[in-house]
Amino acid sequence: MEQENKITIKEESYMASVWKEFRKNRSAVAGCVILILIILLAVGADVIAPYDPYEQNYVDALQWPSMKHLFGTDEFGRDIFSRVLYGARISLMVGVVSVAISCVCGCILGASAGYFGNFYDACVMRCMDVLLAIPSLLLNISIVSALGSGVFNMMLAVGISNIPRYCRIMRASVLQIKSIEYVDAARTAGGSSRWIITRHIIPNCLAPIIVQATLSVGSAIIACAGLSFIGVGISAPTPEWGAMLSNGRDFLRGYSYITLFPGLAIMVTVLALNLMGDGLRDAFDPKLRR
Amino acid sequence: MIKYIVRRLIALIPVLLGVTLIVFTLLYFTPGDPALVMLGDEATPEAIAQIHEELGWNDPFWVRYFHYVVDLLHGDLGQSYTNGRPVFELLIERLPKTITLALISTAIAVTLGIILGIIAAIKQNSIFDNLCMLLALVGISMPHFWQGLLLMLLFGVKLGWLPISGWGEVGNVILPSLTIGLGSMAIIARMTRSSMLEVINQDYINFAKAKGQKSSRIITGHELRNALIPIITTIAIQFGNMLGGSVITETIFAIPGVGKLMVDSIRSANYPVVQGGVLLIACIYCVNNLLVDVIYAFVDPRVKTNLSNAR
Amino acid sequence: MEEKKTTEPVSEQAVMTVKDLRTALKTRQGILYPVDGVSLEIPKGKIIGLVGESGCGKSMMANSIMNLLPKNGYVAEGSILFQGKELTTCSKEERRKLSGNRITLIFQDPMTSLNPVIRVGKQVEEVLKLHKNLSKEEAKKTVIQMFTDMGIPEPERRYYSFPHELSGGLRQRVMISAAMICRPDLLIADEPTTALDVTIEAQILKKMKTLQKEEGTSVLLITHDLGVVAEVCDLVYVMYAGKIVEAADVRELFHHPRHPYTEGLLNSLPSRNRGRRLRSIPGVVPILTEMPEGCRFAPRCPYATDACRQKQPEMRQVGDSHQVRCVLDRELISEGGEANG
Repeated sequence: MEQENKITIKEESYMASVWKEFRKNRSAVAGCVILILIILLAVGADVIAPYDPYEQNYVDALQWPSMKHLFGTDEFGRDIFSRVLYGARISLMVGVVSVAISCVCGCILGASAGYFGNFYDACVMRCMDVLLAIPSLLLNISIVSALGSGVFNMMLAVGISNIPRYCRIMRASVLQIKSIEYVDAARTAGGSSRWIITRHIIPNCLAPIIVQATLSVGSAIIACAGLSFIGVGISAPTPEWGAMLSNGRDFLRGYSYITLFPGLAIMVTVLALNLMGDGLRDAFDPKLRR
Repeated sequence: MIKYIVRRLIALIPVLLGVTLIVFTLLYFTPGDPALVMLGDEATPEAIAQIHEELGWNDPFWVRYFHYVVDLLHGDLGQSYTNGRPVFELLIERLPKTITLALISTAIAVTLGIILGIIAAIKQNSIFDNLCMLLALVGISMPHFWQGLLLMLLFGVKLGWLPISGWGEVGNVILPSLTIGLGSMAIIARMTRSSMLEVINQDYINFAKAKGQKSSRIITGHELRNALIPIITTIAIQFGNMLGGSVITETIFAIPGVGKLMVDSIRSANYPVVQGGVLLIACIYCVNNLLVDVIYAFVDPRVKTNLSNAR
Repeated sequence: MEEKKTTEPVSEQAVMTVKDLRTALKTRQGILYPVDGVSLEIPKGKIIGLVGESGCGKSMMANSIMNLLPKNGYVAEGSILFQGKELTTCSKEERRKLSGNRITLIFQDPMTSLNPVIRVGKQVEEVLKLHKNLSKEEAKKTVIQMFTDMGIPEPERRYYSFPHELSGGLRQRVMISAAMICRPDLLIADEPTTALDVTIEAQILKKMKTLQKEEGTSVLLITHDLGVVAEVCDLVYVMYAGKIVEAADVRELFHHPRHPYTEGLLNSLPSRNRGRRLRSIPGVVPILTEMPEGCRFAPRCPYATDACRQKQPEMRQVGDSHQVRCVLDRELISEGGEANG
């Protein structure tokens, strides 16, 4: 959101037309609304959640969903609804922070590689090739097991493995923009490298980056849940969606609701993000506009 | 063409070297003392020190990395800490299961994905198209381990049609390959649709129509042929992701493949196996990507011309 | 509607007769008619020019005849009669058998009209496979013979080329080969030389004309270039904003244009205005959603009166082979200085 505001000031008419296009796209708006709802639920978890997500209550263990426990309870009697709410906080944070990590690192690397070119460019791109050569889940697992589990390490791992995506987008945009005359004009006018990068190049690369970022918050959430699911991410008592799913596996027979709700939460969140990302992409893409 | 392949193979060497460096570095810094894993909790400090000495663990980082790479070149991935067997052997033993699974899933994803994508594109904006694309988006948004659990719940637990874990029978393959394949199918369907839509509006499709070609032949002979080119890349990426994703799926369905071996090894701090596994899959992944580029050159004559001009 | 006698121009024997054709496009702004009541006749063995600025509905006209309208387009009214067969009502299958065989089309841009992943020889051969019962070798031989006739150097080698390996001129020659290989009765050429260099344009036009003479094919040449028309056409239809505004024999049209629009087009032709300033027609073709009520050219016409702006003029006969859709009765002088004051 913050990023978008910044551009609105710089290129008002363009952003306004993107926004107009985006608003026309019903499914994108639906995604946006769902996402805002999820964010509100996550922020207001303290107020909304009927129970403490960590509080164990063996009397109420393994209760099917009812009015008392909306999503039922797990084997320790913890209220799944409350845990899903708190889980939203973790998942959203993990998604946004890891994307921020990869976005910032990737953009800096990509922009500098495209801008300076030559040997530096070759080095950076070879490093990206190496990162891309390892399937991201395996890379995540290796990084997390080296750094040790925990929320921050997990975000770092997912962040690192996604750096190449942004690096490539950024580099391609920079190379493309570099060949356009106005950058030459800025250079002859005596602009410094930094000035040219921040004033001319970055505003023009933002569209693909924003789209990619929106879409990859979703995949980052899935990746993190996956790590927790196989037990290398966030561990047991923390109400993380992936960890909850992993836990529910043992109770698939008879207590399927334990696996149902956290998974549903992941799906709805990611779906909202994907709808929004698709909408943004269509809105940004002038080819599709008519 | 052969020159191109050779050049690409040579370019692969630094990348794979980079992969070994990353994998080695990560596991170098992984906490926990493997000697403890090998000797058990009651090991004496002397015994631990002796193992460190024997395996060269007191050497500096670069020396150890050098030895590691030299061993790799000899096909030696080290030994499993837990049972002392060569890692290479352990991996090769399990690789066929992982590959089989990935191939079957790819086959499912490709056939269904392309067919659905084509129909959606032809019937653009119809109810079928909208439904297909909504389902595809839902498919992409589902974490596939959850999909796996749901499939297991429905077909294994509730209906009891299919076994929910293990390996060896035909039935064992179905749920895991669906689990891996459905998400990819959604991605391929979306890609096929947009690629087809792009092609449908091209002038050369009108030319084919003006020649009096039947619409069915226009789809298979002209549209699909052109639309498939970008889809090939998607399929390859998906195949690679399936190899990586096998880690989770094999864990869920208790399939004794490379993925499950790796997860089990992480849990027991059996690092050579993890190292070897990551390396093996990265290698397959790279060769897979190379293969795609070669196929690409065969399917798209424009790429081929560029290659021969670049020489 | 126009009376029968006025819609019947010059010719004896027509290959194709289009009557009151209206082609509709369904859009968000409602139903639009890019082709709005066009009648024309294509006599056997003649080259007919259809001239107009871009956006006047020329290509839509060609697409209506070839059944290549976009998904939201359809023929709303009128008839297209080809050798006694009504194309607007006959079955898809029948039309498919005609197109590429009896009626063929040359596209505007040879760069994008050939499938990039199929060898050009195969793309031409596809026509033979569809419409002629030839063995593989015969088909290949016919294609190579056609390439030779079209003046494509090294036809055997070119047969195996991919489109991107050929120059624009060669690609258009390939396109024409595909269009002529079944010896069609009617060839529609939609701006066949617009995308090419001037020198290649001349070669291609010459080739087309020779082939047309040899085979006795009728040609509907769609173009915005009056120079091309003067060079190859027998009869000319001038189209403006979805309607035919003038139809005449090519000499007649160039020497005695009756419609102010034709006059404007001629005045903007360099070769006819040596030593004088070229004059372009002010304004642009009205967009489909904002068609003027009366004569569609009135907003740009230097002679327009209030009457012109209120009522759509009908097509009327002004000479043996000359019709015009204009109420002005005096003969405009094409060299036109006086008329303009």
